[in-house]
Amino acid sequence: MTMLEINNLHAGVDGKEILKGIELSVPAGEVHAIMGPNGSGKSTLSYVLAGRDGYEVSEGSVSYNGADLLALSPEQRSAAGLFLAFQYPIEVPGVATMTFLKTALNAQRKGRGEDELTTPAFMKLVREKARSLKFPDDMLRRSINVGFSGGEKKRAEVLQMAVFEPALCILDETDSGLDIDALRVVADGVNALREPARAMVVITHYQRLLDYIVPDRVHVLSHGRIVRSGGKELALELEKSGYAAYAA
Amino acid sequence: MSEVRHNPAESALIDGFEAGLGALPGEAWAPDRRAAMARFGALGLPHRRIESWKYSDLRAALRKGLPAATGETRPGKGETPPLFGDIGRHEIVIRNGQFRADLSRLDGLEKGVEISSLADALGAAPGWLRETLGTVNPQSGEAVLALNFALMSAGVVVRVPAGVTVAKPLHIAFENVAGAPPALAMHSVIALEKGAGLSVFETHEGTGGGLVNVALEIALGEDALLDHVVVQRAGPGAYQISSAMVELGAKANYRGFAAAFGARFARRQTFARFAGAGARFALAGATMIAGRQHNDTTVIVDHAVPGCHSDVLFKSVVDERAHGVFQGKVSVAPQAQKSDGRQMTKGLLLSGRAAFTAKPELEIFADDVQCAHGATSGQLDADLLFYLRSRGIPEAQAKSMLITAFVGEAIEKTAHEGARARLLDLAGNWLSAHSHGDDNG
Repeated sequence: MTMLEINNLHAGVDGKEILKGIELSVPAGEVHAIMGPNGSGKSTLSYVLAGRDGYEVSEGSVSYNGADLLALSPEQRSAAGLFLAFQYPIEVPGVATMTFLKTALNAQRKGRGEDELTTPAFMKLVREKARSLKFPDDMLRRSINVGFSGGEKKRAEVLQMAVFEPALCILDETDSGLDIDALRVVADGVNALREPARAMVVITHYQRLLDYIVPDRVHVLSHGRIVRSGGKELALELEKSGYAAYAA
Repeated sequence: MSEVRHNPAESALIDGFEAGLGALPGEAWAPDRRAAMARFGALGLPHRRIESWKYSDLRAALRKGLPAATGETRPGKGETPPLFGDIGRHEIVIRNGQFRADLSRLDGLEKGVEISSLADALGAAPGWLRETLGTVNPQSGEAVLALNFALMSAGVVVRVPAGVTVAKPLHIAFENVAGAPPALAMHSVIALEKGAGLSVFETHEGTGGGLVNVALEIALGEDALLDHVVVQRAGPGAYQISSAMVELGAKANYRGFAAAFGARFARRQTFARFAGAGARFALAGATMIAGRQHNDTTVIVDHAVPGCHSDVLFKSVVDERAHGVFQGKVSVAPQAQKSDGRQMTKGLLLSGRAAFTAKPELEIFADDVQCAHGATSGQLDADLLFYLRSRGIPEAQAKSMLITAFVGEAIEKTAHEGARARLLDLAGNWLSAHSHGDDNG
């Protein structure tokens, strides 16, 4: 079934319309890539889906598992299984990563009416996931993202994804700032999370990331609209021809 | 000598002095008290035209007279357990300006350690007290200290002999409850001799109001170490003025933390002076205020000798219509080469009507020094808040986490682990007692 259904979405910031009628349908189990030049509205789309303040929807609808996503607060969206991996993960001084993961996971569980995880069960879960992502223990004790390198920050985002087990992952420019080795680690982490019940929307400027996270569908975003959709070969075509054809 | 036209509060203090003198401890000190009161009479209460009191005009705040001693006796929301009650400690209780032997416990003190009440010490007047009282990094221009000296009724006099470390913390608990006089002055002295060590918890609690004037002289001998945790939770009607004078001998180490939550009007001023090379002075603090509270933290560090290190970090959380003030000054004398002086203050405003004033100053006369200062003021970061909410953490909880993290950076500097945990609890208590962030009017 369709997990995410976006119809005629118009949205913007400060009265300036950036998204001008997005149509997108993402079924469970699929990975969809959204590619586009700078300024096409990629990050705006991710923030609108996550519910950031200041992004106003003027028209259209977004349904998530049949419910109205736009009616939910950011924390309700998270509890419902939506996860946005940030292009620039935020540093939160004074909040240890471990404490944050536990608070967030239990808040999401509470939001779904589930019991909180006990501390030992939580520790076991995080240790397992951290090990599989080669995420060192001492980073779990440090403040969220503070002093992390670009690659470590992205790995921390993927660790969160692994711990929270969201149903819908939106990855915003996850490749930016990564060297090829870091990219491979992050992509492996993401690929390990691919499963029939989970959908992913991978937002990227460059085709490079899609060598590692191979999408089922590719959409081209330009001037706030999806102007073309196709299979994974569309990404390769864009790599050769660039966005010039869509920028005008 | 006086050209000050006294306001009703000043007049009440000056006119009531002679009548109350007989009840104050230590007859032999009456001439000293009279001289101090004359100084106060000439100076008057500090006001905004005195540069260091510019943002905290005590005289104007008391223009209608002394505050009612028990203006508000609103009990706390649910009885909180006694502060540091879970930590094994010596305890001295000073309630309503009187030492309470019945509530104090001093068991198994190390050999040679002298701890007595100020009243007893003034009565016995040992020679060293004569030489010490009022002489530790003296601040002769401070009217509140002249007033304190004139009226001091209680306090603690502590002397730790060379080489002795007191194992258990000494808790000096000042309580101000119903029935206190409208003006209280407490004066304490802590003297650590060469290589001595002590940990002090100083708490100010109670529901009482009135003008509460606290002075503390701290003399650290060579290589001495003092850990000092101060918690001010005075009543909502209190005008709480506290002065700490610190003098550090060579390689002495002072590590302080000051938390402030209470009082209608509070000022805590610290004057630190390095008297011997290689000493370290560190003072961190957190202030959390709301309503119409006014809280001023002033820290003056005097690098008078070479090779000393000072580090000052204060965080203020200000909600509703409260006003937080931080004044910091680091002075480095011409001969004080290789000085390292740092100060940082940050204000977090939770309401559009809250205010935070910071005045960091550096005054450097030596050329081979490292000094840095900084001040910031702002609201909760919208990016941080969204990040936490996008991870499922509800808005109110996310705000609490960020505020706790904000003050936590300062609280983490507290040397005593048990005290650190209790300070984090106190910050949490404050947060749960205050709705925050929804008042942007």
